[in-house]
Amino acid sequence: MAVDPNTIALVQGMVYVGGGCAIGFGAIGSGIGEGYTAREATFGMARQPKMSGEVMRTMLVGQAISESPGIFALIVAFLLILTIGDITAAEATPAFAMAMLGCGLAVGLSAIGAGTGTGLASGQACRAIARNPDCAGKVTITMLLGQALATSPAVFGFVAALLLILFRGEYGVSGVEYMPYAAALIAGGLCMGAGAIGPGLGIGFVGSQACKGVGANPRHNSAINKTLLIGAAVAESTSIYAFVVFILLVLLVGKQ
Amino acid sequence: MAAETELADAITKAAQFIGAGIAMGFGAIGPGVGEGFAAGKACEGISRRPEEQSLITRTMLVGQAVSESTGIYSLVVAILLIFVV
Amino acid sequence: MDINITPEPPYRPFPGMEGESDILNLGFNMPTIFFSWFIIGLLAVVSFAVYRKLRAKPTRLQLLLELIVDAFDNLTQSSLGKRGRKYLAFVGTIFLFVWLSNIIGIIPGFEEPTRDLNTPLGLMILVIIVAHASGIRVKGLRKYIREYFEPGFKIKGRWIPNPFIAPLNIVGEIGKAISLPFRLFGNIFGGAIIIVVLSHLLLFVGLPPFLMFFFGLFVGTIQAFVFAMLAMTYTAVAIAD
Repeated sequence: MAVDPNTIALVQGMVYVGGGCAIGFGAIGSGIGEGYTAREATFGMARQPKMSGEVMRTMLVGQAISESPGIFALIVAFLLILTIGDITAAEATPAFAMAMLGCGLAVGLSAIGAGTGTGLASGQACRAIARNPDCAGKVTITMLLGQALATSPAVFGFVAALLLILFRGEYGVSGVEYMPYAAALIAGGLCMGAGAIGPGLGIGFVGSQACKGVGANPRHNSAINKTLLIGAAVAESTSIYAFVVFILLVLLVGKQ
Repeated sequence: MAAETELADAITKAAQFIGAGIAMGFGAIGPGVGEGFAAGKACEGISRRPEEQSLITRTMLVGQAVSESTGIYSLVVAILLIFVV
Repeated sequence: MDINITPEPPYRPFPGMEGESDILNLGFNMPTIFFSWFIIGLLAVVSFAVYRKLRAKPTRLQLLLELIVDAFDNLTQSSLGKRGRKYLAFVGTIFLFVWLSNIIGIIPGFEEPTRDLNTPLGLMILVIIVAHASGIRVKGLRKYIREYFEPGFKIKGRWIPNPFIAPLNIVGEIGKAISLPFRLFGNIFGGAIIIVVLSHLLLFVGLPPFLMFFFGLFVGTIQAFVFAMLAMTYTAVAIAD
């Protein structure tokens, strides 16, 4: 059966839209987060110009980690645009188009929360170091812990996007049957992406308050780190539910 | 006639899956931010009063469990939409 | 749940363990079982060997184990109080098992048992049973059941159970049980997927080992600690008045 070239063009267009969604949404969070970090760092330097070297170092480390959700989105956008761009006639199905759009949504939306959240943590770390330079090492450790935890919703989104790309050969459903499959694939992507926004932001807030706490009371950093770990782990659970629903939708329903 | 009911079934199933995705996706935003708030303030509280850490941690967990319940409702609704309805 | 998407490791050093095998109509994931027992045996042998030769001037291994035991002693006592010693072995064993299960994947050819959803699910059943059983034992069955109807109504000083709150409390307990294993599984499995896919796509030498290090050691350690801490705090919440 010959496939209409218009269909191929449409599906290919959907893949490009997915790539655009990935990096378009994905850049929001990292942008806000890094800007917030820089704001707190400049504010801290203005207060304590002597400590500008230490604050600068913390700012750069924090921004590098805050960038990583954006880099996940960038990787997926490159994958979608460069390697999946040329689709074959067999792949020109609505399910394929929806899977790639869902892939972009998953990684793009999930990067919003994590990017902003990691930025909140490193911003408060810069502020705490400017205020109390003696505890720079302890604050940096807490900041890295908080940021690693805040990135994990974005890691779920990235994994979801990679899984959707990994099964690219298995979306060849045609006929009236295609509708539920296509719907499940895009809903899975949307679910994972949107579900990771809140936990990313929330864990980032935990990290920021923990950095503030360690800066105020460096002697009790181990108790604060413990609370940070437990609180962030529980705050992460809604993004895990979103991942579970994604797995159900894509692997049990959507994959043919 | 048969084709029409088939189409209707397909549309219904598609709508269920979309609904499940939206339910879980957007339902996860609020609890995530809220639980983060609870845990963040617990960290701040422990830095102020480290001797009360077991009380603070317990209160934090109870508060998080309550604010997580809406996320669990979303999960339950999503699973119902996928498998049962 | 049958989710057969685990990426295969590049090579398997031990023959006869290709994926699942059917014994008595039950699917057995042979690598998971093998490596779980490998870790259990390793922990038992090492700790028994160190225990037999405890010295006042400790060897390096004894020092490491003492550090871990001491840290968990402090943690359990700070959140469980005087009952902490009783749960020290439970929490510490969960940490050591999950930790080794998470980081064993950085050795080429070895597979993390936690990459299989069934391992975290089994650990979850253990944790939930311990938490609820100790709740019943410490508080008594009456008070344990009464907690599900809290907060109740107070009418003329008498406590009336609230029937509408009970489903919410039960759903909350189910939510704890779901999120505990999936947190571990999702993180370890996600790390494995990222490493495999990026190694295929990028053909880049430097990045996959770095990712392996990050997800294997760093995320693996954090998640093992989180799992043990949550097991401990769920127990602490269950036995708290």
